[in-house]
Amino acid sequence: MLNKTELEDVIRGCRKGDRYAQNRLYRAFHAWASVICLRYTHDAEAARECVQDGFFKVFTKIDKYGGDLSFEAWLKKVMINTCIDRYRMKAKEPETQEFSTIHDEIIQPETLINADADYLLHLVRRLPPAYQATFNLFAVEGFEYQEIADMLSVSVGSVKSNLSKARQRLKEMLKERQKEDAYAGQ
Amino acid sequence: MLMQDNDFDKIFKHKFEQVPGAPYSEGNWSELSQRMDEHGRRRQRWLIPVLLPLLGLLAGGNLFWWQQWRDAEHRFHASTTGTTTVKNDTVIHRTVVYHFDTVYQQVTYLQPKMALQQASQASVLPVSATPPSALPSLSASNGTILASESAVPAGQPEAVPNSFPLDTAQQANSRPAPALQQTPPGHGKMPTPDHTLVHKVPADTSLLSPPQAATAPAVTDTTEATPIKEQEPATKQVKSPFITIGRPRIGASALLGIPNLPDKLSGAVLGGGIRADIAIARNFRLGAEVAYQQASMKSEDTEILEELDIKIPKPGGDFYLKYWETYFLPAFTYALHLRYEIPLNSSWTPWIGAGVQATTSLPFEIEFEFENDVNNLEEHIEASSEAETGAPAGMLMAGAECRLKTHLFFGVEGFLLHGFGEEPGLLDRQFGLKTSLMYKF
Repeated sequence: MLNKTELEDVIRGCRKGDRYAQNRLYRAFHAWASVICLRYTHDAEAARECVQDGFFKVFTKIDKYGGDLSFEAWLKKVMINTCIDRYRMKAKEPETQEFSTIHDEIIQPETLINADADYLLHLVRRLPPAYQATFNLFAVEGFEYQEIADMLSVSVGSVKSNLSKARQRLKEMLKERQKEDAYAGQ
Repeated sequence: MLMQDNDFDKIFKHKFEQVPGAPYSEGNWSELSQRMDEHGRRRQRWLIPVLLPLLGLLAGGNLFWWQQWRDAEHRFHASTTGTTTVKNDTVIHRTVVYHFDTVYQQVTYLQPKMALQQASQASVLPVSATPPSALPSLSASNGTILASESAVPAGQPEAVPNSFPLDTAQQANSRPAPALQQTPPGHGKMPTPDHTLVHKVPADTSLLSPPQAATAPAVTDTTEATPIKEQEPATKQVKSPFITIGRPRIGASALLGIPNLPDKLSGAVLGGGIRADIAIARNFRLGAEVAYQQASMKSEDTEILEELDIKIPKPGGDFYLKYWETYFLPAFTYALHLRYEIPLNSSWTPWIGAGVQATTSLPFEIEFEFENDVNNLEEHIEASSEAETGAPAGMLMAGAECRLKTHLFFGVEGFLLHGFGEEPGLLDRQFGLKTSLMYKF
């Protein structure tokens, strides 16, 4: 990461189109941006494309960065918007996948706490796009229902419904993992 | 223990913060860098249609003023003044002015005594005081050399030397000026040092074509300030037949156009081509032109794209199309036109014309920019078009041409192109300017 002075220099260089400054910014924030994109996509290649598209927008529209947000917050917003744009293109219609058993699964907290981060990321990426985006925006990014509804161009009710179904789906998958671990323990 | 939703979400958030993320890859950076370069080139391409016409106008303007300067320079140098001493007792002062196809020559014979008198006088002879530019007003007709004598002493016509360069004309015309030579001293028409006599003599046949019969010499005393009546030309003007096929020309043209699209935000067309034309009747020319054009345009209206079978992407939701844009639309055009040249006695020949033009647009990319009016999210979607040749469009033209050299013509014209078909192409509606350089065989 860059310190504040370095970051200001780099942003100034990027505004002038300086390729060296752009490279420094890209190096500094690539891994951080890729984590964001990994959560909103279903495979590594899609995440890579989102990162590339996001940085392209950052470099071409950096003049719009006014300083009212921290640069990290602005960059994160750009990346999320890029991912949502992609989600909108890939899945124009919300998933209507219904689960055969809609009942609250009981998950032991230890199962979740002990789970590997990559495994949880894997589970989220297995969600249908609408659920995945809603869950990420609400649970991880901390947006409100109305904000998410605006971002995804859906109603608040759909957001709540998709969020509930996303959690339900994740719990189902964790329950299966819990059962597998139990069998393995016997 | 049943886990609360908030706890569930927090664990996910916490775990996701531990994900390391993809490491920096030089390959990814190279890819992005190339994309940025391409983006920059596209922006630069936008400058070309703006800068090149400006350069063209600058070059055309320079060419025009250079031509004007050269003509003026030519006229200045053509107006030569010289003094030749033929004999010790005779001085010939000669002024020659070339004005278009007419030569004016003013000759003054001076004897040293007269010259001394002139030098001693504050006022010079009218001959030398007469500016060369005023001489054409004294001319009688084309193909006539105007000669003026002053201060020729009476009884001394022999002072005019035979070795004078204009002897051919002089001997044939100035000598038979009986009014001058036979006038006794003291007569009212006797030239004096302060008077100028103007002789009209035929042009040197080596300079003027076609040769004209020598006109009778006339003697005019300019001190009487009587305007000289213009004589009718020796030959009548002959018009060419109405149907005249010939005088072909070939050349190059450059174009700057403005696309005339509905809800257009910006746009420019730049092109160049080759053209040829041929005279088919008096003042009428039939021409053909093949040109390459490249355009950039930006518009809010998609109807014309739909007519061209270009699929408009629909991102859905609250997204609306802000505009569509193409940076590079290449095309070939084929035009046939007929022009009428308005006969004017001017260095520039104005003309008006009409024609038809067909356009083959090559495959090009279009970028659609959508925006969500709720959350201001922007969506950028690209599409492409296939090659297509549209129906011919009608064209109106008006312009002017000037002759740079004997066989070389420079022209400037404005045009208005309008496609009347149901599916006009993107380049079938435009207006703009063209410049051309034509070589006449």
